Amino acid sequence: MPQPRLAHPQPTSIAHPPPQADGALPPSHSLPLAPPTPAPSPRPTSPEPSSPLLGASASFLSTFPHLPARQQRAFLTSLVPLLSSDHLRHLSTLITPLLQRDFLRDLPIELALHVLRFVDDPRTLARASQVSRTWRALLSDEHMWREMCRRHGFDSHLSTADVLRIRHQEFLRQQGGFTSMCSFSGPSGSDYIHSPRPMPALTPPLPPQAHPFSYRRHFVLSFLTDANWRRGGRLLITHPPSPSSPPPMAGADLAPLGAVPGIPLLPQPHLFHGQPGHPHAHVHPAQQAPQTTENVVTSLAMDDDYIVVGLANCRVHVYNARSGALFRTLVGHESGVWCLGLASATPKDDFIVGGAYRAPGLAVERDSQEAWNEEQRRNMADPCGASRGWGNAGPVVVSGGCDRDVRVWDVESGECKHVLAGHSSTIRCLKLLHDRPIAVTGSRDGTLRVWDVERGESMHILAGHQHSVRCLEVWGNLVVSGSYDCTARLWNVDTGECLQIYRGHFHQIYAIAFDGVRVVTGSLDSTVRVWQARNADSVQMLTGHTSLVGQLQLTSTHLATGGSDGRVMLYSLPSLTPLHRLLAHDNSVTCLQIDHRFLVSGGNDGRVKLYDLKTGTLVRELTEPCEAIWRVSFGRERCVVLCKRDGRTVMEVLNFRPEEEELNW
Amino acid sequence: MSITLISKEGAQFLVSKPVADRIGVVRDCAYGADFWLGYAVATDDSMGITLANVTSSILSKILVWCEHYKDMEPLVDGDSNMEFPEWDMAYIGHDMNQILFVLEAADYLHIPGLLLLACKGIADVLDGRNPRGICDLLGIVMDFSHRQEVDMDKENGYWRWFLHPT
Repeated sequence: MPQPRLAHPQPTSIAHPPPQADGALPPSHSLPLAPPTPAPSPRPTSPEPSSPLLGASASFLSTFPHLPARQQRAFLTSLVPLLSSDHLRHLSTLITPLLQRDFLRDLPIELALHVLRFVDDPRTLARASQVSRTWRALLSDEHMWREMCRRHGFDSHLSTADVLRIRHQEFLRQQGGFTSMCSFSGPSGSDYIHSPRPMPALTPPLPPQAHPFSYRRHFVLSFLTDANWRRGGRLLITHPPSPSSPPPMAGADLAPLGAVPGIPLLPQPHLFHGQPGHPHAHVHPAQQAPQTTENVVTSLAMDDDYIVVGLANCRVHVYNARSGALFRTLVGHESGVWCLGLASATPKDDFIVGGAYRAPGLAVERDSQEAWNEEQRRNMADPCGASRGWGNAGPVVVSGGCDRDVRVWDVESGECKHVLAGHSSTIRCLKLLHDRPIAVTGSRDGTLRVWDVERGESMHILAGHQHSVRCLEVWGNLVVSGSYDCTARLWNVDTGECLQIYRGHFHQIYAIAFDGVRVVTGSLDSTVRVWQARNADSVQMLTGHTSLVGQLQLTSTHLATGGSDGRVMLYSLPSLTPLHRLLAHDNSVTCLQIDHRFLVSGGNDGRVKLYDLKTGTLVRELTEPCEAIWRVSFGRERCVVLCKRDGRTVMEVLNFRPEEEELNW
Repeated sequence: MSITLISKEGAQFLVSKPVADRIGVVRDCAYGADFWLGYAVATDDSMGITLANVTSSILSKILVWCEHYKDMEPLVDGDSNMEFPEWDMAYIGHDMNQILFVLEAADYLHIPGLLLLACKGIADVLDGRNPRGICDLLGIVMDFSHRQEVDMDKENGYWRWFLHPT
């Protein structure tokens, strides 16, 4: 409480230090220093006693502050019993406001925001924003929500559009176009997006979107999406529509979006019932009768915009990821497609501003752990089969299969831009490099080939394996391949040389993963081996499985393996400590994917299971059980399941993103 | 060497150097005095520093923390997930009013570790309270416009949906 400073023992003021020589220090206790006193924070002012006090009580009041604390307390304790309830009520109204302080209003703003950063539960923040105007304004502070995003790991999955938006807004703010500290949401925010301010050439173009980016919105969206994974979500679309139940979005799959006139599309719903082995089946799609032969899904790639499915019936189907509608069918392969990759569209500006490519080497000494982590994250192959493009305006699909040709497709137009011949046997695996127009393919002829898919040229032939190349993985400009000759090899894409050979497996290698430091191989001999990429002699063996290990994924923190024994193992990195042993399926594991939240596995027993990565507990099954799961892949907001149901091949798109109207605030 | 700290009421606290060193402003004062005032620092027990914004009760509370942390490093901002030791949580308690004074004093005295703890303490008191509860606790009057109330109703439906998902 503010008290009059009547009898301060050392009323020396710092503002006027006595001008003294060095040696002439005053004796003890005469040098009270004081830190500079900032203006005290505003506080509720205590009511001044306005009524004139009589002499005795006035003099007592002036001595009260100087009594020892114990005596003050004793005095107050003995005073209370003397008071009537009227007095007490009066006191209570005087005291209560002194004990209640609206700290968000009273504290300096940076302190108030600092406090809010410590609130762990976002629901508390949501409630606090309904307290008063001041609180509401403070709680829409972007920095705080940014911090919350960081703390919950939501900042790592900003979409390209969001990143552009942030960069744009920061640019405008630097230009002084936007100075308010509060959020961009709300009506004032949308004004400035459309402001006629001339944009300098280097500002990234702003993708059209209803809302300007706000971390608060992003947080809520991410938080609810995660909650939906656990308990909500909805089946966006099923291809073909189930005959028993009406399609969830009737007609949506019949109206391809952005159709270009003159390009034939396949509008009939029974997409997967082509004729395998009949190269001209696609020419007269309308005449196709529903077939009893099922078609095997061999490959799946997806990004935020498109889902690409490769089939053993020579087709590649492209779907709009947001609506689930068929976007285009790419026809041209003469026999089954076995593998494909999707290069996401990257506007050139964005590529120049943000995605500057740096050729990585093998992990040697790095300036800092953080720089290395960032580099590792950037170079890591995407588990969904999509790569960052090289500045391509539209998305590009690269596919290969039994006809030995690599085909490069422009998705928007459906045009096959290049047919790259070279392999002398079936192409079994294919990956695209990030940020560069380079594809690497592995074939049953025992070679890998490196292609420039922009110019349509072969760059290198990577020869060395004695048998089929079964699997490959890319990281930066390095590629590892696993082969039926029981060895794995590490190659440099730019020079075409073989850098390492990893020998040790007793049987064919079926799966491979690579994170720039370690190479992980899964083999028919039922072991998983973890090699140091730079030193092929250093190897650790993981023996958790009892038969073929066909599924592997490495992230920066975990290694997941899945085998034909139906088991899924999860290890932590870098120690390779086993975290969870999951008896996931009755039959072999056909697909497996992890991110920082979940593990999703699909098996030949027809089930798709969602596990919590931290606890290893089964959260739920994502689809109704069916006959077999071909492929499952998931992104942040959706999960695509390709399976065999009632004898037919079916694609299901599960959406976990909250509805737009729910986010409209 | 020890230093005498003088509270707002004039009460004197004699503290040892390692304890006083936890208080940033005292440290600056003690080491920077010749710089500020043009004469050398007193090196005997005689130095007194007036902390004009801090009351005796809060200062003695703060000195308990400084005493506890005289030999170890408190948490620094940016430590992942900020798990405070049990002692800290017991020390800061749940008395909102007192924590606020500690917070302000820690800010004024430049004690980053204690500032973090006070922030955490306040956040914990707020945790789990509904808007009405926060208003009662802090004596705030809700002053929303009609439009804002409509917005909040929308929000409410929204958060309720995630509190009790179907």
